[in-house]
Order: sequence, then C-alpha cells, then structure tokens
Amino acid sequence: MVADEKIPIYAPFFGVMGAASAIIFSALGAAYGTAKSGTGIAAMAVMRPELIMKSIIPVVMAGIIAIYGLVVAVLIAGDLAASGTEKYTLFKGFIHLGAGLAVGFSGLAAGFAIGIVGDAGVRGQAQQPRLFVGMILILIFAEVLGLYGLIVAIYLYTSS
Amino acid sequence: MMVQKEQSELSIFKVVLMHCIYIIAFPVIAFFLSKFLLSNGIFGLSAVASNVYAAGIAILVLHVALGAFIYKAYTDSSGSTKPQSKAD
Repeated sequence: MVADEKIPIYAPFFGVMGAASAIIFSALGAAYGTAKSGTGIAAMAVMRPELIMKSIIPVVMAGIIAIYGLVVAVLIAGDLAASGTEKYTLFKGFIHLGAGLAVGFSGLAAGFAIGIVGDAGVRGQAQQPRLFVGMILILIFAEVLGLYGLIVAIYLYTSS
Repeated sequence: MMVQKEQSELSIFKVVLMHCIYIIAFPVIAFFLSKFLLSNGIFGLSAVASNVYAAGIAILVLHVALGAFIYKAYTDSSGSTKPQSKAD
C-alpha cells in the first residue's frame, strides 16, 4: 500500500481549483464589463433610445468572455471526471491549474477593458454616430485578449 | 405614431432576443454535439482530441453568431434612425 508519488490524493485539488478559477475570474470580468457598459447604455438611451440596438454590443461581447471560461472549465471538469482519483497525476493537476488561471485572468482583463471602452464608446456614440466603427474595433481588440488566454489554456490542456 | 413606435420597439426587442439566444445557446449546443459526434460517432477520436476540437468548433460558432449580430446592428440601426430624425 505505497502511495504513488506521482498520483497523490491531493492531485485533483489543483485541477478543481483550475476549473473553478477559469469560470470565477472570467465571470468576474464579464460582470464588470456588463455593469460598466450597462450604466453607459442607461445614461445614453435616455436621449437616444434608437441607438440601443447598437449599444448592446459591449454587453454581448462581455458575455462572450464568460463563455471562454465556461469552455475551459467544462474541459477540465470532463478530464477530472474521466480519469478519477486513480489516474489523475499531479502534473495533470498543475497543467489544469495553469490553464484555468490563464483563461481566468485574461478574461478578467478583457472584461475590464470591454467595460471601460463600452461605457465611453456608447456615451460618445450618442453625440457622434460615426464612432460606432471605432468602438467595435476597440472592443474586438479587447475581446481578443480573452481569446489569447483561451488559446493558451487549450494548448496547455492538450499537453497534459 | 405611438402605435408605430411601439411596433418598432417590439421588433427591435425580438431581434435582440433572437440574437442573444443564438449567441448563448448555439455554442453550448455545438460544443456538446460536436464532442459527442467526434468521440462516439463517425470520427472516433480520443477524449482529449475530441474535447479540443469541440471547443474550437464552439468558439467558431460563437464568433459567427457575434458577427451576425454586429452586422445586423450595423445595417438595421442606421436604417431606423432616418425616420426617427424625420419625425422630430
């Protein structure tokens, strides 16, 4: 009854923390982005309600950040459930923790960026509608930050 | 005038709701459907490979849905602003 050094009983702890941090930090970023751009939309729509359709875009983009975290969390949770406590190595746990933190903190950063850009962009769009194209471009560049985190997380996940 | 305004409000709400459902539901459906198809169906890939491809497909579907929404917002709202400014 010698416990394998590479498969300790606490190995899944790191994987579980990775899955949790993936969705927690992504949801934190998405919530901040939604709330911050939501205040901008609420202030703008009082005078220009016809622009609501265009102004919803930062909110949708913030929601997508949370889907990145969800995908990685589901991937990690699936691997945890498939391998069980017998086959789940410590290395796998560390990899999963790294993947979760990568997508989580990237999503947090992207959510902050989307919130601030969405707030200012939506308010400015009410005064100058041509700002829309610029706002979309800046939002896409903010969104891509979260996508980079997702790519790194999936790359890490495959190397386990 | 009032009825027409209400009508357009409802149609905008319908469009936004439809696109939000697309953006939220389609990637989740695509993920699990493609995962099932890739691991159990015709392709028979390993667990990790099918998971990764399913995630890629889900993200692809997500961005197509987002692009459709941005296109719709860009083309629709610019058309609906004209009557509004005319009425004012």
